[in-house]
Amino acid sequence: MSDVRIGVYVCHCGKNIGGVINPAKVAEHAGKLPNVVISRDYVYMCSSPGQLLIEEDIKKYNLNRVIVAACSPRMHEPTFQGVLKRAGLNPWLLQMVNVREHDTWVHENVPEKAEEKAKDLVAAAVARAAHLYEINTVRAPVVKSAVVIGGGIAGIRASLDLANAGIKVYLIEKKQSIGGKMAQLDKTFPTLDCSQCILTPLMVDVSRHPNIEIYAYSEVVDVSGSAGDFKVKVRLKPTYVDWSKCTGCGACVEKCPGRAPKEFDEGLGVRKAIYFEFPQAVPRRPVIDTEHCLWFTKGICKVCEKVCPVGAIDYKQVERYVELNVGAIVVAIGYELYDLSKLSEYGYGKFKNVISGLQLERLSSADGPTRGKILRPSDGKEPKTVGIVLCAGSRDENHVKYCCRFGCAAAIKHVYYIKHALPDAKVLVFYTDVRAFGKGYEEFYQKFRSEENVFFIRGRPAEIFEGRDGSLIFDVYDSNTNQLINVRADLVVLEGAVVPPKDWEPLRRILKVSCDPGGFALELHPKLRPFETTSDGIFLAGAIQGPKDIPDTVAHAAAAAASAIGFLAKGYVESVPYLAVVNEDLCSGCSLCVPICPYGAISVSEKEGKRVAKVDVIKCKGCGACAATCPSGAMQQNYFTDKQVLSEVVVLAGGAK
Amino acid sequence: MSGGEFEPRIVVFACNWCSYAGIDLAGTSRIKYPHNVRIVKVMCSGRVHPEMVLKALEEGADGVLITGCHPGDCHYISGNYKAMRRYLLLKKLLGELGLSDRVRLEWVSASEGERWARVSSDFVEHIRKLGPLRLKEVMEGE
Amino acid sequence: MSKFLLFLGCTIPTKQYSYEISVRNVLPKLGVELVDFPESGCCGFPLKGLNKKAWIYMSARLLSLASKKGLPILALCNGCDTSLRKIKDLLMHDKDLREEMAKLLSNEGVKLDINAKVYHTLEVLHDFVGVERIKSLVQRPLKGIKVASYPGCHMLRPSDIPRPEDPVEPRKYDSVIKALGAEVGYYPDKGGCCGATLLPYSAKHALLIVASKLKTIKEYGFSAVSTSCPYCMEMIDAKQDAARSEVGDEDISIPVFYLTQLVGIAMGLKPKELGLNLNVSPVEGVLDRLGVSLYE
Repeated sequence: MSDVRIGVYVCHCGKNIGGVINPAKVAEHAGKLPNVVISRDYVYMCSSPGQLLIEEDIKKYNLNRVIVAACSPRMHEPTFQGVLKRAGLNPWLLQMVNVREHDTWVHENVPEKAEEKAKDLVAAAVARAAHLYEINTVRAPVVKSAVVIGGGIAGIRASLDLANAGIKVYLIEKKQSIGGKMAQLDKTFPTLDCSQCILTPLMVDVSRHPNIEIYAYSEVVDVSGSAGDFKVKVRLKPTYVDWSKCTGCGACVEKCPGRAPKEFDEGLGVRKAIYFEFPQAVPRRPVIDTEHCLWFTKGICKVCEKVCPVGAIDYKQVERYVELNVGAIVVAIGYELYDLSKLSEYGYGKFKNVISGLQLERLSSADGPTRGKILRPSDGKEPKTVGIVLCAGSRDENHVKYCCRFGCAAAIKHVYYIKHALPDAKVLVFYTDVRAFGKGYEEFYQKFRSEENVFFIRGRPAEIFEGRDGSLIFDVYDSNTNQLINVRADLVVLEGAVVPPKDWEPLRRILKVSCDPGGFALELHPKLRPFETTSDGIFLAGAIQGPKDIPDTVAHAAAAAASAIGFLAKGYVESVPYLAVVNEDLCSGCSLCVPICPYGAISVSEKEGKRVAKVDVIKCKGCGACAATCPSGAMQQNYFTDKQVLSEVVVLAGGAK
Repeated sequence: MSGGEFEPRIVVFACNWCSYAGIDLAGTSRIKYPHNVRIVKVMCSGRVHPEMVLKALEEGADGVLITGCHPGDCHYISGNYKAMRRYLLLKKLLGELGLSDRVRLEWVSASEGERWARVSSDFVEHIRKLGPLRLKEVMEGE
Repeated sequence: MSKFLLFLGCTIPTKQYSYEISVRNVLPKLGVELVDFPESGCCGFPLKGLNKKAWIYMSARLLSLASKKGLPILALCNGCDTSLRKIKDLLMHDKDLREEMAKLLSNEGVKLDINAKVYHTLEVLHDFVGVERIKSLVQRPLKGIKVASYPGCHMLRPSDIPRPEDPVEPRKYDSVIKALGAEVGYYPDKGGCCGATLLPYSAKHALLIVASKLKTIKEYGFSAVSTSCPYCMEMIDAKQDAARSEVGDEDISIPVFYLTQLVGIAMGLKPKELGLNLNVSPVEGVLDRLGVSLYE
């Protein structure tokens, strides 16, 4: 291996690395190792002068391997691979050493040990680098279409952006109408625009766009293929109405005798057994709820069939499946409210007058169960005192640890709802902190906190009791005034915690997307790549990446769409570099690797009178399971060959030489 | 091993998608764990060849920790199940040599920085109690 | 057939005989075998604030004696139940304390063993006998009687050790009462204190607690109260009169029953078999409505 010429570059990352260990010493140690031609340290290796330093060294010292000891390869591997490319080297001759995340950030309490560890890790990389070789990836074409999962404001915005860029979009929505949570809101903060008024035009745009096809009342059940060429299997749930015939006239809904609690009104209102989700539904097509339909439950009625002028009712409809071939997938399934009945001390679900913020939105909405009047559910009377509890379940070790990011602003908006509808009412807002962080939010907060009969009290209510008349009695310790306050309220509104939707867990397993500690989708990088995932071609839009208010959701969705457009516009995807490769001289054709491959990428066939394994480079995803199985070492994985990994292991097991 | 307390030397195999990311998260969250662990990245825990584990022990490691995605979460569908089956067979083999206590398989997801800190601390303490292996010194001595 | 060591504690054999009478007559009819525990003593709970070690010793002794017999303890009193489980938890997690107690216990020839399981009356009724079984044995449904369950604070707290009921949302108690055909319902501060522990320090405030509790219960339309703690019973049953004088002779009288008494009434047992003649509160009204004479 006399032709191996290694350059080692140790980054200080400012004080992140340099403040714990001495990078110069690590570089000096590396300089004495075999094949190392040059070793240096620099304050910010990823900066433009840092990159230039490596680039010039490659030319000057005729380097053919580069080791960068800096942050995680998940952060800057592509950056430094770019440096190699610019200097005319194959990018896979780079070896990153993670001395920040895996060393200085976690061992700063024992700096000598951290330095010893850094030297070890660099030495292992030097040993490994000798066995690196050039890897050339192949390119496969990209299908210029996308699936957007979820038709809330995030999915709507992402679909429109993709479609306007000339990309065919399939929008999958689990409910019968797009619109999502935003459609349920009365107004939006801090501008107090009518939510429906700004949302419905967009919903109509989606339904009319020639590049968008909506699959409502549908769900994704399987995804196969890979980035650029996904096969997405969609289940169309039976609606018992032939939507291709239906005109949305609503005659069936009008005549239906069946009744059920209205989901769109958060259980406060009543709907029919055949129903539109809400008046402005897109697509405006009804669905039969088989649990409450008299035909499905008792075998009588059939009124809807009789009144339908176009004969669209079809009681025998069954579920259907379609397979969509797309290049990219945008996940925009949003969030769900935490089950507030788990906060048993607040009595939600037990006491009628303890309601969620979303229920208050419905009460305040002109198309809601009370036609926009704020009345308490127990007796329909106007509440005189209203308590609003912030962080109900959020920022709570026993429930959800993180912040919901819109509860504070929503609560201020709810103060407005109540004061606007009931000017004489007294409003008590119980907060932990008021986080009015967005554009215009602080001004919004200042405006309403100074209103007459509005009190912001810093404290969380203790156990809530219900009085004989349905009023709610509780104590709150006000930490600002160091007083225990006894409260009697007619209505209590809980600004609840936010969690990922229930269908996220099965979906993320289908998509192979990791999740964060809160269960939300894990982005590729929290700051730099917050709308991409570790799976190429799968993008995140909106609250599924973490709780967001509407402005943030829209910005995030547009960014996800732009990122997906960029991915699709490139026109090709590169095969993974970590492909399995066969040494045909060693392969005996034993076929052990064939069933091990989860993608069916390996076949064994006759070649020059000998049976040998063959890898399909498009199907192979680069897991390396076959290489771990091969008894002769004929099957190897690019960038993770036995030699490469073992040379690293030997050094790490034996310690710094 | 020059005086002082015995500091075990642990080689860790971490899959790229879950465990390596989880270990990174421990870093970004500044969660402390013992310095004794040396991490080797592989794309999938299913890539870990038994020879890699044996080589680590042979070359001086006092313990080997294999980490992968939780069951059902594998980026490559089923690599972690393959890793588990290989691990159970390997444990049998190591048992014959009296070494089965020195290798462990753990699931660490990309969000489990804290779990990684716990898993690694536990394993380091476990190996510290077992004492040094020094297979290489013994073999070279023979 | 479940078998339990019947642990009475101190309050029951000294002033709350009706609890013991009803337990001894009701539980065997539900398929529960009770074994006497004559060598038992105090659980030590009242010593908690005075001499912590003595408290731990008393409960550790009981646990060891029960473990030797290989039977689970049935603790009738909320305080005994809490004390035994707390000590079990303390000893389980503290090696030094375990060693110290083992040494002390060896002086009286007892080997420390904290494996004995501890259950409260409510758990035996709800978890072992089961609501369905109780329902099937009801001969005299408590129809039209709305019973306020009052579990008592130690059935709910402290929540760091296993408790028979959910601290904020007690459910088991009401489900047993419902099985008897009675109505149940919500009233504020169901999980609150009965005032018993306050009694030696400020009788006035303790009685005020009793009065306000009974007042709320009456306001919410209940016709009876049920508890299964002798301390709570002592307060809300025997001290009704005393409490009334603290609130200006307002009418707060309401019949109070042990849970086992209610189960016994519904199963058709005679009032004497349940010790109902020993209850101080006016229980006759409820019995009359069921067509039962207190002195039959």
